[in-house]
Amino acid sequence: MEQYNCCRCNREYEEPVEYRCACEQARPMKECYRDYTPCARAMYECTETANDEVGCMPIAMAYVPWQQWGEVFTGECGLYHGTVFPQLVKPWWICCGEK
Amino acid sequence: MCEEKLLRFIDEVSFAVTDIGLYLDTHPCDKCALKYYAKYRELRDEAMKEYAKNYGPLLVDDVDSDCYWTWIENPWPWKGGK
Repeated sequence: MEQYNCCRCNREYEEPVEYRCACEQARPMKECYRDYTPCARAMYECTETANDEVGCMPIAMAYVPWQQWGEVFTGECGLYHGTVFPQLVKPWWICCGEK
Repeated sequence: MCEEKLLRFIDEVSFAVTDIGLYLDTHPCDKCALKYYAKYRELRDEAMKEYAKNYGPLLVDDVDSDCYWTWIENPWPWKGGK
């Protein structure tokens, strides 16, 4: 069984699906493309053209990276800042609109 | 600890317990977070017991009497109670 006709969700399908990539080269589909589910990714762009981490993800969707454990405040500081995670302290400065 | 200070401390540790709980909802196996939670929950439990002993129960869970329902002893919130 060639590697490319089995999707990440391990559902196999009969024959490989080909698609025309943005750079006009026919590419074997690594992911099943028919029933678009969270685990299946639509590969419109070949990975060479995707230069950032989310390049291979479907467009027009928001992505929030996972929070990793890091420094934490004490309870006192956390209550003051509104979070016990320094990485989430993001005070929005309201400037007076000048350039 | 005086009542105001103790109440402030209860606010602080309760906030930490709640906030870390939100993190644990999405990171249930994070050992560091679980340790942080255990520490602040213990601080909170002790502070709540101390408050209940000295100033009366803040929550019904803190009522610790088998002869009188001490919950009704303190003034109600609409009468200036905590």
